[in-house]
Amino acid sequence: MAEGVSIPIFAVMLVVFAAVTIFLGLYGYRNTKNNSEFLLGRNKTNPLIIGLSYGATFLSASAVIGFGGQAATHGLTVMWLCFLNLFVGLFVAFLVFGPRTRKVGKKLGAATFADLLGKMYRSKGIRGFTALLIIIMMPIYCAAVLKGGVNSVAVLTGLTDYYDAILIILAVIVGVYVVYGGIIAVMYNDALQAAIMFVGMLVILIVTFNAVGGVTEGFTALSEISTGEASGVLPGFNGWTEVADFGSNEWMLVVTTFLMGVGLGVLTQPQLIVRFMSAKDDKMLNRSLIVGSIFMFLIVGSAYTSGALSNVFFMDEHHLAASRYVAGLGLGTDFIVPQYILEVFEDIFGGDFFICLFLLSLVCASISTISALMHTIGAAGGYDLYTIAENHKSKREKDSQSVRINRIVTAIMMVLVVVYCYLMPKEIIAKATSLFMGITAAALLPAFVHGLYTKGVPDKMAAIASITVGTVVYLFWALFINSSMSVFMPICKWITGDAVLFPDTWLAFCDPMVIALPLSIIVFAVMRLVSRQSEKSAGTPASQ
Amino acid sequence: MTFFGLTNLWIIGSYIGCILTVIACCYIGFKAKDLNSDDEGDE
Repeated sequence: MAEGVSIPIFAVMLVVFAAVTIFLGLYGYRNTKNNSEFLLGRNKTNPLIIGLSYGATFLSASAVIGFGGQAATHGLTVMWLCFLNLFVGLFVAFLVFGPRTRKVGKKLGAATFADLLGKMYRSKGIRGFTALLIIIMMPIYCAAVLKGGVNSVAVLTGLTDYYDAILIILAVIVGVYVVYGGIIAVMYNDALQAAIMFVGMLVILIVTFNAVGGVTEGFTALSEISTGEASGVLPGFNGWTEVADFGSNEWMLVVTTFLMGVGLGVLTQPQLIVRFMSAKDDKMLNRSLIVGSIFMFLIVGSAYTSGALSNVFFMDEHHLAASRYVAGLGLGTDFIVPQYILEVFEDIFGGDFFICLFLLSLVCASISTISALMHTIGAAGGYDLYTIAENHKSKREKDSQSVRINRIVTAIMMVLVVVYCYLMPKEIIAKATSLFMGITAAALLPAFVHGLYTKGVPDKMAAIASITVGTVVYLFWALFINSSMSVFMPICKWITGDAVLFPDTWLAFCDPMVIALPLSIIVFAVMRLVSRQSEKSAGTPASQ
Repeated sequence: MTFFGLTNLWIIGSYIGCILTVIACCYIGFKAKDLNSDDEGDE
């Protein structure tokens, strides 16, 4: 096993990085004069910043470490997630959802995703529910990303004794620039972090192809590794360059949880939707596609391809496939990519520098996502819920203009996220990502699409029914049926003694979103039909 | 069919799909750059 990174080189990199981060935080602070600038920063961004910020927020350490490790374990089928990230998360999101979201958001004067949904449906309930969903579920995702980043940094630097200090320092850095700098600091820091990630992952891809003897040679060698070498896979696995048997447990896990859960869930990510509302015009969104697509393809494609090809490297070096080798070191899937980086750069000129660059990329990937998530959580509490509470108390209809409340809530939630880090199970980066993206899609996607594209007044009752069914079905399936998700809160085990209701069946590997989202859409469609029938018979709109 | 050593059509398709999407995104982005800036069109 290779030794850890060079602490002096990494320390210098961190100091420079922290200085630039603080400078950008100050820039954000000086340019944040009111609540609108704290929440959206409209007119203070450009296509480069939006494209890089969107990509860096979207991808996080989850894509590089979490899903890179899954690619090493389950193979190149995960490249379909790269395609979905690009096609759904960028192409469809920017061309179909982005312009409409920007226009509707501007027309309604919305500043957050919850605010947008609430104003679309003229419903405080929908706004409050969306804000609550963000405050309750997003910290799980946020804590997973923070914990993943800290775990990797602590292990790779050999500073595991200072785990708590690393966690708190990272949380304080992010907390300070989000609290004071608002969205402007978040987006400018995202762009800086994205640039570091871009360079780091490009080097890793080149070194990987060099280490396995070239592109064709690497993929050929990967296809020749026996499936008997695999570890951590389920029945139906056919090799790293093949797709699993259709409908098998392996197929269910990879396709429904990793591909669909994350691939489709991106459309209702509150922290990403805010990026659309930050854009000045549609052209700015379209221009962001250039840098956004190249950035995302390089980061995700490099992580998954290098992750899968790490099997060829580990087979050559240790005669073991990646997951089996790393398991032998007492580490899990989330450590395959970091361990691979440590070893592949060992004998390369300037290897120490590149390992440090990768670690810094990892830190960047983590904090770019955490900062955006913290900003979203803070806005959900300090803007949406506070506005609802204040309006209820003083019988008025006015959005909160208090930047201070947003800052206070963001700071409190940051402390809670740190606490969450100590309560969460291990090896959950990819699953926590899928959980948050899945539940927001199941609960909010039908209502969001209808609200954006309907002509006339959106159907509030259909939205409420769809949100309710999507949320309840998703939570039930996650807590009682799906074996991956039930680890977050083992209620089923407390009640029945078994982790899930139907263990060892395909149901246990089927992602909750695959069941909850179609049901949410069906309920929305049925309610819409009922409303239309009522409108026809009554001769008046029945939705409001 | 072999594509840089890959033989499974689904896997090859994922890479080609990624490349085509990036090309499409860049085309749309560059096209937007050439447009005049008076098409704000907000509602």
